[in-house]
Amino acid sequence: MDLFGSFALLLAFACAVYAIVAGIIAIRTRNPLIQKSARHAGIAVCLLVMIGAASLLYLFLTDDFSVSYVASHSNRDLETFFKVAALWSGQEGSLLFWSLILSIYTFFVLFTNRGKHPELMPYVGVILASVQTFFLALNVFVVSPFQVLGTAGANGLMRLASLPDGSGLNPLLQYPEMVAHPPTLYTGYVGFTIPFAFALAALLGRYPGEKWIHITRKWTMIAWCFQSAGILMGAHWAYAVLGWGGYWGWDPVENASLMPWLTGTAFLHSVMMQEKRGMLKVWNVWLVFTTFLLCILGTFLTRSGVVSSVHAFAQSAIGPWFVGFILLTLAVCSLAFFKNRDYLKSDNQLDSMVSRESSFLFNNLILLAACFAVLWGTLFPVISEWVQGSKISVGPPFFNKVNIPIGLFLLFLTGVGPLLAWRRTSLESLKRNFGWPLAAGLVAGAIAWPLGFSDIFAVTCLILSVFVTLTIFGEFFRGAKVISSRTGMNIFSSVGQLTMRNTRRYGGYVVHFGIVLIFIGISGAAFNRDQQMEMGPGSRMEIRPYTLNMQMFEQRPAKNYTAERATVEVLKNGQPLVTLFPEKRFFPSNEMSGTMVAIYSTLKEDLYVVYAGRSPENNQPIIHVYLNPLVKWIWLGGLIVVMGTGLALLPNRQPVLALKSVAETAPPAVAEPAPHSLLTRSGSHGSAD
Amino acid sequence: MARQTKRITWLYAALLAAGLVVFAAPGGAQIPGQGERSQKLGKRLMCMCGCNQILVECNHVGCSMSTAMLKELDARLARNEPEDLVLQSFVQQYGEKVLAQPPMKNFSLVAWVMPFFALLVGFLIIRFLLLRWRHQTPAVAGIPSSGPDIPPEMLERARRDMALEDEIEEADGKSGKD
Repeated sequence: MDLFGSFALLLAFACAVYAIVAGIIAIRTRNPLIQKSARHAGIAVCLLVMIGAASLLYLFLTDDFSVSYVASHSNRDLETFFKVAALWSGQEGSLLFWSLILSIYTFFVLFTNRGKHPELMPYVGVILASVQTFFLALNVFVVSPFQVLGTAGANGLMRLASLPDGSGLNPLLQYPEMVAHPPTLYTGYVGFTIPFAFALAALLGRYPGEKWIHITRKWTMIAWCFQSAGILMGAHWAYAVLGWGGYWGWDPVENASLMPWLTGTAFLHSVMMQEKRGMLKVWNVWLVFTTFLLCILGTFLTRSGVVSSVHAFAQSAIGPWFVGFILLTLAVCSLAFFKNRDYLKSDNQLDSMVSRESSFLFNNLILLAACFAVLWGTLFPVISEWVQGSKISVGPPFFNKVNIPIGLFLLFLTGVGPLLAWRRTSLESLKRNFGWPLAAGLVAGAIAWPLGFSDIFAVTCLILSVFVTLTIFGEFFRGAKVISSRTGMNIFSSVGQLTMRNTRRYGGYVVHFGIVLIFIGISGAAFNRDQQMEMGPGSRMEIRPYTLNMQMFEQRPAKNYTAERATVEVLKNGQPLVTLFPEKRFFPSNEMSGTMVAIYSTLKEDLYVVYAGRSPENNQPIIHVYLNPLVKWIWLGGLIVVMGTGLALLPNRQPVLALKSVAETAPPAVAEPAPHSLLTRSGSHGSAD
Repeated sequence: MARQTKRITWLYAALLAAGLVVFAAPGGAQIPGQGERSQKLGKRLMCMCGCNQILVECNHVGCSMSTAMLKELDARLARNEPEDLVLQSFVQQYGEKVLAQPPMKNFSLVAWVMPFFALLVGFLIIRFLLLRWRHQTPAVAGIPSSGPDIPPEMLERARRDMALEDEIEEADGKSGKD
């Protein structure tokens, strides 16, 4: 099976190279048959990579420890679904997984666009095949997941060998969420390749019109949604498994996933400027390029060992390959841009400083500043070592100090942006819409401060959260009221009608609301408390308003590990509440330990109990308890973000016919009377906002 | 069967008793790094085991460094050494990388300045672009002389839809007319 899988990947590589060559010939000769052949090669890559991945999965499920990758990441006693997850737990498998997801994306793009956009799709096919070729080259020639184990035979020749059992999966990865988190995050990362391919294709082929931006935006939203969910699942995994009481440690691996998310978010906003006003074309193209390059850079940073990370489960000497690929991609993008930059001229100019357009510009500035701060902080230890010869640490205090003010300003813009009109907003309307939500926010802050919400950043976050939430609800309410008065529907049905008339706009507002909840959850960290104690059975620990009674410790053997489990009775205000079972697991296959945190979670706070091990001095069990306020709001916010993005991806229920005034397409100086109108249809992608 | 159950009960009782003997020692042994000042100062230091975590947050399995570092921190604070001196002693021992954030001096100052400098530059660029866009003479856009052939009922529906959109925008105060 290893030979079969290996051969499938080699064939996939050959097909990807063929797709590039045939695609380029098709672009030059405009021969439809060659173009079809190139597309089929792209689709064949998907099938072959699937066969390769299925072969590796088969090797895991059949405990074939003659394959090095299987022997290093699995063992006989490993649960079946962790054997599936072991596929992406190391360097070789995760690169194959990257190829697999990219090939599936490519299949969908090529298949759903067959016969469409004949000027654009050959370029898209070539670009996607080029990226695929890079990853398949790594899979086939550099870090093959099908490498077999061998020993030197008596005659000096190498012969195949097989181990009786494998070393097992890293304990940190033996957690149910790890089955879902990497595929979700990878689907996000890899998904940004599609908008990149369309943007570069449109630039290279000077594709007329804005159609490519509609296609790009949709794919970006899909990738962004997966990236958001993947980041939050990773944060939840870190929270539940690493046992340090937090969910985000500004670790390089976490930062690597956040950076493309930030630039992707910026693109999803600024793309509206291009769709609505034909502006920011250069900016948008470079945002898409940057997002893709950051995905590759993140992969490079976490796999090359350039920066150290507790999350980096796969490191090897593939760094130079990634550097080469990044430089080559940058060179191609730059050349395409300089050759065709006149194609990206803006159609319109700005009418007013106080407008939706300028708010998007500032939103982009802030998102990019946050991205730069994260990148800078991540790379600064390397830069410092390079400049002054000594490494310095850039830990969470730096990232928090720099990013909290930036994040709060971004939250402010989240509230202000939707209140501004395209082109121009009068001070009057700004006051009318801005006034009462801000006043309500200030009142909330004034009430919360004496109640103990006495951290300046947390209270600012609260004020802004109230402000933004009210602006969002105001948007829904005012629109629904109009529909209600027109149709006689009740206000709730009107909200549904309003949302489905323009899913993109109102889905976006739902996403904003989710982000507000996440900010509220994060602000709770200002009030985290923790306590650590050596606790034998019968011991008691107080962390207001909870009391923890240690009942017993026991050893529980399981199939793949032995757990040392504490039974902790929790009382709240003296009343029994719940029994928690934090545990420490020891995995004999690789002689590693892992933590299983016990969490009692409510909307108000999480009681987070860690069995931290035994005291080296007297062998007493140590229990570390954290009281983390508002953490649940983060996961709830994440869920709403995903739902909002899903809503924004839905087509409008009824295609909205709109009279598009010439005044919209022409600058005001020449468009005053606007006597003529064009009928436009905005259905599947929505036009407003 | 009953005899087996009885044996298991005895076994559990014996295990529990053994557990109590082992664990019931008074929970008094001091865990390092628990004092308020240790917590405060420990958040400004990194654990040097390579786990890339804050000293007081390091729960790295089998960490060889954090306990010793926390004990040293406790000892220095117990001697009432000033915080700066304590931090300095850690820097002397482990180098500047023991500090959780770059010190605001020498080259490390660049780490702090750069993000805000980039923000400032970005702000100035946007301001420049906004002013330039506003001062530029707008290009004359082509107005089509005749529109597509639209059926009257579609035109009517479009008018209705647009009127509703306008009304919603008006209610939001974003009609662009004011």
